[in-house]
Amino acid sequence: MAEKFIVIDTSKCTACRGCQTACKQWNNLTAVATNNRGSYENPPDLSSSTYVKVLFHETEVDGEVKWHFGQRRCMHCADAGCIKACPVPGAITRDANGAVVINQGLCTGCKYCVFACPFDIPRYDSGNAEGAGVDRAYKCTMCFERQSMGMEPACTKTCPTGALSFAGEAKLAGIKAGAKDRGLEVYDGGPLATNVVFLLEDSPSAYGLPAKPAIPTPTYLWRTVMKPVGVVAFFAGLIALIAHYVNVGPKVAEEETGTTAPTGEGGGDSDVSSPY
Amino acid sequence: MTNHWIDIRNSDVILISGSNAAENHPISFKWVTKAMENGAKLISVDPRFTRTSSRADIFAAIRSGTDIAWLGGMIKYILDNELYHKDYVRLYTNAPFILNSGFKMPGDLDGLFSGYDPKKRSYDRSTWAYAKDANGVIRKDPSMKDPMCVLQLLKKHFSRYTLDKVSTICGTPKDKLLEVYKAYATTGKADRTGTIMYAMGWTQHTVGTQNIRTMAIIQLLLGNIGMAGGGVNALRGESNVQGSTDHCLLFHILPGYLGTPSASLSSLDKYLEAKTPTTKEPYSANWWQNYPKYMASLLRAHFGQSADLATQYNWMPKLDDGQNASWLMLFDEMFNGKFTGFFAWGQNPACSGSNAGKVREALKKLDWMVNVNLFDNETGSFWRGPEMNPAEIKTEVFFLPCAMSFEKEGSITNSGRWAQWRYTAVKPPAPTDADIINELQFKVRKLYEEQGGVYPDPILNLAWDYGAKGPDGKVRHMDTHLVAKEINGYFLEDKEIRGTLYKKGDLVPSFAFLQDDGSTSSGNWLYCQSYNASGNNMARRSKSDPTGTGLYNGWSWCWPVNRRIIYNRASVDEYGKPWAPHKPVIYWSGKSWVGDVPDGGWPPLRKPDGTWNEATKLAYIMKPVGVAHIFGPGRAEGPFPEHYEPLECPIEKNLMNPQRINPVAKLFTGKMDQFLTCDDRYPLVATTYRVTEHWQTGVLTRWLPWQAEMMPANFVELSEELAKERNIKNGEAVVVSSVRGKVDAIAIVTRRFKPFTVAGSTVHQVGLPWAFGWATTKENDVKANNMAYSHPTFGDSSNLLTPSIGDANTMIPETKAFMVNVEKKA
Amino acid sequence: MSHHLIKRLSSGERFFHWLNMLAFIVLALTGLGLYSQKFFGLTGLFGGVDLSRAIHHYVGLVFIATTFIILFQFMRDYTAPGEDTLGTTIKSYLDPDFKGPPAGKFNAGQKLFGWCAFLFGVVMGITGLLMWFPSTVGRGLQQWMYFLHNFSFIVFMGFMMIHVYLGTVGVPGTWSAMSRGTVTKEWAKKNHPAWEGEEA
Repeated sequence: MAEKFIVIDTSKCTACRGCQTACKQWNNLTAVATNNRGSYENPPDLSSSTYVKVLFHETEVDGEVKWHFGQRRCMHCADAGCIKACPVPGAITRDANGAVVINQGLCTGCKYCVFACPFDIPRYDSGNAEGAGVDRAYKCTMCFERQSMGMEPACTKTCPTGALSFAGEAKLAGIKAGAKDRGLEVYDGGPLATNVVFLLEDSPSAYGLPAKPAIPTPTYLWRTVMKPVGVVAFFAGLIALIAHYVNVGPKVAEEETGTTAPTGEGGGDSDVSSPY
Repeated sequence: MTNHWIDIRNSDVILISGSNAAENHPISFKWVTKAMENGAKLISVDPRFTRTSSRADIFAAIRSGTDIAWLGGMIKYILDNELYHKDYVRLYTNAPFILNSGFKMPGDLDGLFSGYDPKKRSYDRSTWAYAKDANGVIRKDPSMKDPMCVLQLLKKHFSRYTLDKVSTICGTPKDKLLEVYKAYATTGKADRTGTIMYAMGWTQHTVGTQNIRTMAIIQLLLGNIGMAGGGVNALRGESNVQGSTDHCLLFHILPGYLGTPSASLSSLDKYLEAKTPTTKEPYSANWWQNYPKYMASLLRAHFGQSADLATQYNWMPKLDDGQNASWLMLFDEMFNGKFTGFFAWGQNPACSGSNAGKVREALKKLDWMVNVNLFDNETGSFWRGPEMNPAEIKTEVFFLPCAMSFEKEGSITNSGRWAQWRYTAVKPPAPTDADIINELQFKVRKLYEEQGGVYPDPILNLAWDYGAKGPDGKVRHMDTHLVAKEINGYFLEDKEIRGTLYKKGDLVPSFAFLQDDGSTSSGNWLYCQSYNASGNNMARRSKSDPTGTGLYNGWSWCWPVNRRIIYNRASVDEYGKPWAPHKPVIYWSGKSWVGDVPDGGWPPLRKPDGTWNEATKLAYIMKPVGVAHIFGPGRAEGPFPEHYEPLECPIEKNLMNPQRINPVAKLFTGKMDQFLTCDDRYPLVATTYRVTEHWQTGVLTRWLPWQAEMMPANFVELSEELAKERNIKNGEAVVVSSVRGKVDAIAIVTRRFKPFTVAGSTVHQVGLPWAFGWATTKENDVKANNMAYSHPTFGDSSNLLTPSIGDANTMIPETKAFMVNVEKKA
Repeated sequence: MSHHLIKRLSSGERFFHWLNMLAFIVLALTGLGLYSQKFFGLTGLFGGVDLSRAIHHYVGLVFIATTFIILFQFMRDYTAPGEDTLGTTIKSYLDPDFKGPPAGKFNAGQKLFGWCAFLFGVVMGITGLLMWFPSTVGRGLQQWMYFLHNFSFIVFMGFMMIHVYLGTVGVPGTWSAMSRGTVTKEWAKKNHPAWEGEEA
């Protein structure tokens, strides 16, 4: 299967939130208890019950009001921080379509992915509070199961204006070219190569997106640098100790019996000697 | 809609005003977006920067209730700069018609048209008339230069709507107004079209009808009606409002927009004489001359062949002469104890009614109420609502749970007049074969049979053949298809028409076959053709678009006779060539019309050699004069729109004329009909609106956790400037009050509202949704009241604030402009 | 072959060291199971990944507690003055003929180890707790916790390899301090002459 992309054209979004609700419906996610906090935005955050959240962002440029509608949702990176961080084989995988999916059956709730995500997307749910979770991490699945049945994701299926669309590689190339002609910035995660692609009318920050998305430095050091360094260091240490034992040998105390055993090579007759 | 949803994609300029289509008609933006992809400009004019405005190329803010002013300014701009489509105006409107010299306009008459009677608050319209020749034919000046011709009078009337004056009334900067005018007036070019998408933001005013009239005049001047991508397009507030209006939702019309009989029209002959228009205009088709056929067929649908037509007419319920039985009147009469029983059927007036506090008081006066709905609501449980003492309330309430439209097979008619057949999507939660109306009809008929009663004939003779009957005579199961067929109509006897023999019991092919002699039935002549020998046309699902203009005329069925764009014979020139050849609606092939179903098959006005075609008919077939009304003498306030302030407004006097408010609006004077204008206690202009997340009063959506999650609270949007003045912080709880009531809300402090400069002073406007009600709040004792919602909402209905006054023509309440105050909640 | 034995570790000291050691072994094995998917198989030793993680959390608490207790027990020894330096200590391990200044109860290397074991133990404890309950320090800092936990583990492991080596085969006679609490006079004289002098 070829890679698939969710394209979000912000110039066509009216913030109807059909995608947000369709996601909840398809994934059978419960509603969160909310208050109006002086905005249309709700629920307050992503959670085990909310995989897609529409953002409302007001600005004013030269007296002209702008109301930008962004989305918080998994970006489905080709170079995914969550997969890098995950300690459990198979618990987070990226399939042939490009969907990065947490396998709830294997997830252990360690939260490594929660903090390794460049976009701050996965949410841990202990299962104690209101919500769908049981000690697992949760996020958008790009409706991989719908895709496997030849259907597009629930959100793109629902979008009435065409702001959200589901595209293969060829279609995406056309959309990207067209977006440039329309003066839209293509936001595809840069080096992370995300399978969710935004077409932006304004700077990424106006849509709650990081300007230069990257796997966090500590996560990179931890998972990409330290892991091999640790393994190498372990074996290097082991070899050094063996070398010491062989070349320098154990430091054996002198016997009380008077005979002065030579230091160095000797000591073979000590009762606390080498294992040989 | 004169056009239809998909047709929006054909527009070059889309004006959305009096509507927040992105919010309330999300799917419409599929087509707005398509149009914009093709280069269309989107203009949003609204008091507030909305979700719609966020997508617009041009946004202009106007103070609520000043639409005639800014639209009038556009008419002046179009006329001054000669940007109107001259041929269209000359051929297809009454612009060349010459008026009687007795006709006077507000510029000369202190804001009034000639014929005003201040005591009755109404007009004698006899001076609003055309000058006629000896044969009774209207005098016309095709050059449209005669000072008494409609175009020149229009120019004179709107010459007062200068940019300065409009700007100071609306609070809109002049450059913004000009930007809007300039962009929209480009559609005056023959091949360019502009569309208007409006909704309750234009209609729910004391001048609602005239708001639409003003826009209709603009559309006619620019030659946008009948065209692809044009039209006057009302976005209906509910998926089947169009259908229910077609089938006599309103008190003054029967199905198919036939007038409701009144007491003085005491016989069918008198009724038909009063209702059937005549014309002396030589080429007018005057389609309403078929009135007798449609009325006769309706009587047959109601009463079968139980008696002759004259007798059946007598059985029809009649209004008292001059009686107004509109919403505001009904609740006023209920409040005054004039009637004692009430069916609240699929509605929630305790939240939806303007001046809802009065509505709730009125419900106390009833002996009984039947509440038919999915969930109990603020209406059915009004007696245990806030500030109610159940011990003092006598009203007995019966709650009948019912099925939702998705739980039943049947048709809905959308804003684009498409009657679409829908199958049962899900079964109702409780299995039920009972159809409430069937049960009710049977019981009432039985009572009349057993006990006689005052006038049993209409009930006992009512045709009720909607399925097999049991031994008791009751229809066992209502067959929706039989209802649909009855609406279409049958031949009641063998009839030969144009050489074809139709047998008794055959379905009538279309309304052209309906008869005035009682030999056909049709429950609604407009729907005749919807279900005929070719089957249930409403269930058609062809995805082919042979014209390429998005007509999809094999998908569902639309009235009249599947005509997708009405007035389409105005989309061509005198020879039948489309004004916009790249998006033709119809064109004349030399023998016949090709494309959409034309407004009658008559040939174009002229033959190819330039001579007049005697076989032709004028394009506006529903108008006795044969052309569209720029001069509209049928409206209560006058034939041209004039700006009047809302009942409650922030300025002492109307800057356009000495009349502050609509001089013919009906004023209520009861103790709960209070109004305060220019009062320091309520200095803020307010409007109400809906949100995507809730439907109407939230009567269905507040019970849905996902919807309540997204929009959990009543809110009031206000500008940063006003918030600072009042020391109100974003997200804080506030109280919004008017002289009629108050409601809790959360403050949304936003840049999307800005203070207006009106007549030199600062005017603040606020806005709030009306989707909430007390029944789903934390304060309501859910268990005790047996109302199970899972996610509580905050705040009661904003209609507690709105005034009980209506438009002079339609009595639609003025909920879109009134005065309030906003304070921190103590 | 009887030796004159000297008491080196009290039973209390040995108890907590043992506890600390066992905790460390468990933590290392369970931790490694979560450290890299290559070692994921180790979680099988502890009845699966969920149990493994839970054991890691709670044994971690034992480890932190014993780490502090051990610091208090040896605080005086870690801070005791000595003539030897880290340089002379290392030389003494690398060159059998090297005769440096006499070490006290703990030589300079052991003191350093003691402090480092404490320091990195505490760092692992704090970072570990924050990994267990991650919502307290903010996202940016939290990300460093994972790195620090791992980094500390690697450094700690390095010290531990030397510690275990020298405590067993590297310096014969040391293990009895852990197993019985005593060492031979000769061992003491050889490795900790200054201390041996005090004890004698």
